[in-house]
Amino acid sequence: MNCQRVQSLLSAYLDHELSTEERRIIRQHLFFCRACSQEYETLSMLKNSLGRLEPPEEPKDLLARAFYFHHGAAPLATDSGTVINAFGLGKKFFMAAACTLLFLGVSVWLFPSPQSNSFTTNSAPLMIKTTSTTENATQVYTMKNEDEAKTKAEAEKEKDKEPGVKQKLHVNPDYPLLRGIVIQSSR
Amino acid sequence: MEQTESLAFTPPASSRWEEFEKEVINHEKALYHFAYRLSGNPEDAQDLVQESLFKAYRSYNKFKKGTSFDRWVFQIIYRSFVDSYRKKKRRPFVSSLDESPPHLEQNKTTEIPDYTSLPEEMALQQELGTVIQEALVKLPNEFRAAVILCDIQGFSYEEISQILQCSLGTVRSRIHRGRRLLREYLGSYLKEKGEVDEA
Repeated sequence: MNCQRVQSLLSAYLDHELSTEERRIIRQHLFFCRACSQEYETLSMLKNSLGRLEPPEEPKDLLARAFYFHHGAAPLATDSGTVINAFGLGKKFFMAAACTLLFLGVSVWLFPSPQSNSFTTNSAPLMIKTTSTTENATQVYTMKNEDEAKTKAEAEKEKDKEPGVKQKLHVNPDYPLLRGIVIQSSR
Repeated sequence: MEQTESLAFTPPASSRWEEFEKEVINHEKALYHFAYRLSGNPEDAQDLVQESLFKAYRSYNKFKKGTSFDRWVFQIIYRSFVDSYRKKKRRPFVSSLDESPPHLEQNKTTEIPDYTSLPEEMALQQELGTVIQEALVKLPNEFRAAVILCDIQGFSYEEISQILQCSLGTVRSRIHRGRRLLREYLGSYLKEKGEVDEA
């Protein structure tokens, strides 16, 4: 074992944290090596100095102060070990309420109910406009709701489905968001 | 914080509280000593112990009966210390114009006085505490905790690894590196002391 290895193990040797074999090897090395022996002496002195440090005088009522200064009052402790604290409870309650409100708000915004969605029922009726370029004819359907409009549009689509027929689905700019669908067939 | 003022504190009437209080009274001195050496001043040590005791009582139902209470609280103290240190680091530094800047303070603490001129053993012992504490504070947190637990509190490496939640190899390395750094900081002092001891 070289000096570098011995010096890296000196702390553990000092604390009796090495195996018997390692201790024996280091003891032998220290007997012959002056530098490592000096290092050992210094570390030993350091350890002794730290061990001799006087403990500071601890403040009185340490435990009482732990609770008094944290919350300004004595905690209400139960046998289950929980500490009931008015401020802590209020904070948790507030957080839970805020999370619930946020969740509800986001849900309503993302998934509005059909009753509240006024444009499908109360606003202008849906317009389905079918244009055939060959026949140059235009049919306009007035629908009461989305589903009916879609069904009709699909029926028209099926009807016009022939080989070589291209279909395009447009959103009518006058009636955005499915208010009006124009199915244009071109041969 | 005034230590002499009386507190209007009524302890809760529960068997758990009594048990906890008994355990704290048994280990109060060691807990405060650890916090003091870790934080470096009595005010921070007091805050650290108070915070840790509060946390310990809150999670006292998690404490396994028959295991060492002091080791468990030491663990909480160390974690609280590391947390508060991180918070402090994140906080912006506010300085008064009347106070000297911290880099100058640090330079001041590195000056080690000549102890050979001190005749009294008592004074030497007091100074020893101050000098070592100043050197300890300069160590990185993890080295400091390991050295304090080993050399001041007298825990084994196994116990330290449980308290600091790290492997035995890490404990060994931290103690070794911590001592080497301390030896550098206290170089001249240890030299003087060695000469005094030989004489």
